[in-house]
Amino acid sequence: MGQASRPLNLSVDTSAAVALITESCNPTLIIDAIDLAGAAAAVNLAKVASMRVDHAAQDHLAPLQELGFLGTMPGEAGLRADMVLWIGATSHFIETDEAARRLLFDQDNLSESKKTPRRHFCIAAPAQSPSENRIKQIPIGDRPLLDTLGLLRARVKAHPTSIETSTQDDIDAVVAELKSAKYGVAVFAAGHLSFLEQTNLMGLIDDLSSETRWTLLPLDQPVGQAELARMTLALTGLITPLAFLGDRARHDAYLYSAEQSIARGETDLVIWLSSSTTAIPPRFLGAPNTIAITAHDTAPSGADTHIRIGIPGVDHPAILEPAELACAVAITPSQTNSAHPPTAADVLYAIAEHATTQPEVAA
Amino acid sequence: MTLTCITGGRVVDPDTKRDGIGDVWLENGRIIDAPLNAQRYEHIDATGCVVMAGAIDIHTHVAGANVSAARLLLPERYADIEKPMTEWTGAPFDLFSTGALYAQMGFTLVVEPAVAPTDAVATHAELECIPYVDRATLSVVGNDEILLGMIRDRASNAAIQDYVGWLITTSRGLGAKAINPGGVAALKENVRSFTLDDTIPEYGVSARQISQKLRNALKALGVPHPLHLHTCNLGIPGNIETALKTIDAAEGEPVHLAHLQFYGYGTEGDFGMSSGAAQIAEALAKNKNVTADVGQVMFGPTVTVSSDALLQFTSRNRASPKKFVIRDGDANGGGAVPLVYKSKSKVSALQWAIGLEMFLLVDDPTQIYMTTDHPNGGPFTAYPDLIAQLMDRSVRNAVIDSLPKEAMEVSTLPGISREYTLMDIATMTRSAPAKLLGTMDRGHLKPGAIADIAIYRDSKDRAAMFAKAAWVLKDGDVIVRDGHVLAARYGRTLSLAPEYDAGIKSHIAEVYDRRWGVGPDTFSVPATLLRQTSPFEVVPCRP
Ligand SMILES: [Zn+2]
Repeated sequence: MGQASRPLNLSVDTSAAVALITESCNPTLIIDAIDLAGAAAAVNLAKVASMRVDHAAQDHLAPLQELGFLGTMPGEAGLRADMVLWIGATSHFIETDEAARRLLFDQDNLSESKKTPRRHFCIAAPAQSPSENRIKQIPIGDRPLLDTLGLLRARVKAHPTSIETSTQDDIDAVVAELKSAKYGVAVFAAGHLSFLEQTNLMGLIDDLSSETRWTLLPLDQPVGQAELARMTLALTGLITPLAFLGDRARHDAYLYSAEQSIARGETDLVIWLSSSTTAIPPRFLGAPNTIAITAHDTAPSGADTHIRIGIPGVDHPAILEPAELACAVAITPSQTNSAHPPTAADVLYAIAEHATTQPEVAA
Repeated sequence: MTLTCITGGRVVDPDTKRDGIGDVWLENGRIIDAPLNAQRYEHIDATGCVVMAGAIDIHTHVAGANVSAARLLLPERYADIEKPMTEWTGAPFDLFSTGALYAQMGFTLVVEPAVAPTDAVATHAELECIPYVDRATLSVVGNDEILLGMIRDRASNAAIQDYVGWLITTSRGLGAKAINPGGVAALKENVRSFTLDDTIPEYGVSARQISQKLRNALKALGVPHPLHLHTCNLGIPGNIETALKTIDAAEGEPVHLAHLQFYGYGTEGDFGMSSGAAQIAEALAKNKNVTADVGQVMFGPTVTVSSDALLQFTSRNRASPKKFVIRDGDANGGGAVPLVYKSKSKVSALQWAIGLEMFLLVDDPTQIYMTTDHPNGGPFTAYPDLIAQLMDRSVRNAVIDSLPKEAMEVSTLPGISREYTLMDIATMTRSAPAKLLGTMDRGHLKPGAIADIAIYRDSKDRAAMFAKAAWVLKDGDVIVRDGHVLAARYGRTLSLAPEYDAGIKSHIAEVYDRRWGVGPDTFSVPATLLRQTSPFEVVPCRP
C-alpha cells in the first residue's frame, strides 16, 4: 500500500499490541469510526499481518450488493424532493437526525420553479410514526412493512391482489399519489430494515421509476463505513469483510464476517479500531484477546490492551465523509488538542512496521 | 541520478521525426543531449528493441465514486484469488494493479477523466495510491446548478470563466469535462432523452449553449486541454447525427470528443444499426479543431462506469448481471451498470468494428486517440491486442472471420487495408496526447523531456511486444524490467492553477449555503491527502 515512508514519532507504546498480533494466528480487525487515512492504514496493517478486516455494521451493505441502488445525494434531495417517503423508523429521523430534519423537513427550500409544497408520507408501525401531522401515514393496519412494500409494488404494476376492496382503494390512492411525484425521495436507514425490506424498497423505487423519478436516500449510515469502504475497494478491489492471504485479499460475506468469526471461535485476537468513544459492542467481545485502539482516555470495557488515538477532524486534520454531504471532505480542526493523541493512521503504520503473523492457510 | 545511455535501440520519436537505431541519454530524470566525452555512465542495451517515450492514456476511469460503486457491486467478479492479475474479469482493478499493469505496458501518465468536484478529495486520495505512473484528472462541469444558473441568468463570460477557473483549481484538475451537458440535469426532472438543442426545463439552457460557454471559458483561462466533451445520445443507434452536429457546434474551436465510437451509429442494416465511422472520419478531416478518443469495444464482461446518469438510468434494465448502482449527484452523479460484449452479438461485433474503422479511417494520428474508455468498452489491458489489430491486418481479419456476418456487412472494416506504423502508434499514444494535455515535457525524447521511456523487444507479435515492456523508466528510474514491475514508487498528480477572480466565491458561497449549509471551500482538495507530502505538480496554463 506504499505508505511505509511515513515518519513515525509516536508518543505511545505499541509493543503490547505488536506482541499480541505477532502471536495471533487469526487476528480480526474490526473498524467502527475511521477517517480516510486511517482506513488506508488499516488495509495496510491487515495486509502485512494477514488479518481479516470488517466494519462493525458491514451487513448493512448486503442488499445494495445483491440488487444495486437507485439513489440520490442529501443536497440534491433537500433542494429537489417534492415528495418524501419515510420508511420505518420515521420518528427516529425527524427527532434525532438533525441533517435529515434540516434538509428534508424544516427548510422546504424547493426552488422557485417548483411551486408545489413538499408532501410527506411514512410507512411505519404506529410506535415509530412521528407526531408531526405534516407526515401522512400510509395505511398499513397491522400489516408488516414488508407486506406493505409488496402491496405497493403490486399496485404500482396494477397486479390484482386478494385484499379487501376498501384497503386496496386506500393503497391505490397512495400509489396514485406516489406516481404524481416529480422527484420522490424514499428515506430509510439500513440498520432499521431487514434485508428483504431493503431489497423490496429498492424494487418499489425502481418500479416507480419507470414513469416518474424516485430515488433512495439512506440516512443514519454507520460512522466510518463510507471511508473504510472507499479505501478497501480502492486498495484491494474488494469490500469488507476481507481476509488477507499472503498479498491477496479475499472477500466472503459469511466466512470472514467478524461477528461470525468470533461466534465460531475462529478468531483468537480482535483489534477494535474506533476513533470515537463508543463502547465495544458485546457481539465483538469474546475472543481470547482484544486490543482497543480508540479515542477513550482509558481502556474501554472488554479490552485487554488499549491505545489511545485522536478524534479525526477534532484532534487532527482528517478526510471524513459527513452524512449530510455524503462525500469526503478535508476537515481542519479549529484548535489542536494539547494532549496530541496520535492519529489512527500513525498508530496503525507503527504497528505494521513490527507486526507479522502466521498467515492463515488458504481455504 | 546517474548518467544513463540507452544504446542500440530503434528510437521512434514523432516530435523529432526520428525513426532509426540510435542512443538516448538521460540524467537527473530528464533526457539530455549526448555528452561530449562521457566516461562513467549506466548502460541499457536496447539492441533489438523499440524505444519510445512513456505512453499516456487520456481517458481511463481508474478512481472515484462510480469506480468504487462498480467494485462494490461486483465482488464476485474479483473473487477468484487464483486468477492471474492480468485476467480481466469485468470489475475495475485495485489501485496497485492499475498502476502496475499500466507500467508494464509502458504507460507513465494516466488521466481519470470524470471527477465530480464534490468527490475530488476522495478521488485524489485514491489516485495518490496508484503507483508507478503519474496521474491527472478532469473536473466535471456542465450539469451543476451554478453553471446552469449562470447561463440562464446571462452571467458575463468573465464570471463563467472565473467559476470554471475556481472549479478546476479547487478540484485540482488538468482540465474540464462536460458529460452529457444538460442531459443529466434534465433527468432530474424526469426527461428521458436529451439531444443537442433540447433545453433543461428548469433552466431553459441547451447542451449546445453549455459546451460553447465552457469552450470559451477554458480558452480564456489558458487551459491547454480543450473541453473534453461526452456529448448526448451515447450508444443510441442513429446518434451519428448527434456526433456530426456536435462537431459543427464547435464552430472551429478546439474540442475533444470522448469515446467517439459510441456515437458512430447509423440505423441502416437488418438489425437497425450500421457504421457511421466513415462520416465521422470525413468530418474530422474537415475539422482539424476536433480530436477524439475511440472508446474501443473489446469482447468480454465489463462494467460501464459513467457520470452520464441519464445514460446509466435508461440502460439499467440491460444490466448483466441484473444489478446496478445509479445516483443523482449534486451535479452529474452517475453509476455502474455491468454488461457483457459478446462476439456472437451483432451489436457488440459492430461496435468493435466501428471503433477500428475510426482508428483506420482517420488519417491524422494526432486527431484520434487510443482508449477503451476503461472499463466501459473493455479494460485498458486490452491495448496490446488493439495495437496488434491496428498494426497487422491479418490479426484483425482473423477476428472479423469469427464475427456475425450481418454485423460486418454494415461496416467498411473488412475492406480496409491500412496498417498502423510504429510511428503512428508513438504519435497516437505519446506525442499527440502530451500536447493535447499541455504537458509539453512528455510524449517525446527531446533533450529536456522527462525521462519517461518505454523499451519494447521488437516482435512481429505486436500484442506480446506491447503487453510487457523490456524496460520502463519513470523520471529516469527503471520501474519495469522484463515485463515485471520493480519495487513500487509513487508519482505525481498533474493539475492546473489558472488565474481567476476570487470575487466569484461570494456567489458560490450563496449556492453552497442553500444546498448544504456549508462554506465554498468545503470540497476543495488540500495539498496533502493520505501522505505527508503533496502529490500535486502544477502544469502551466497558456499565457
Ligand atoms: Zn469515459
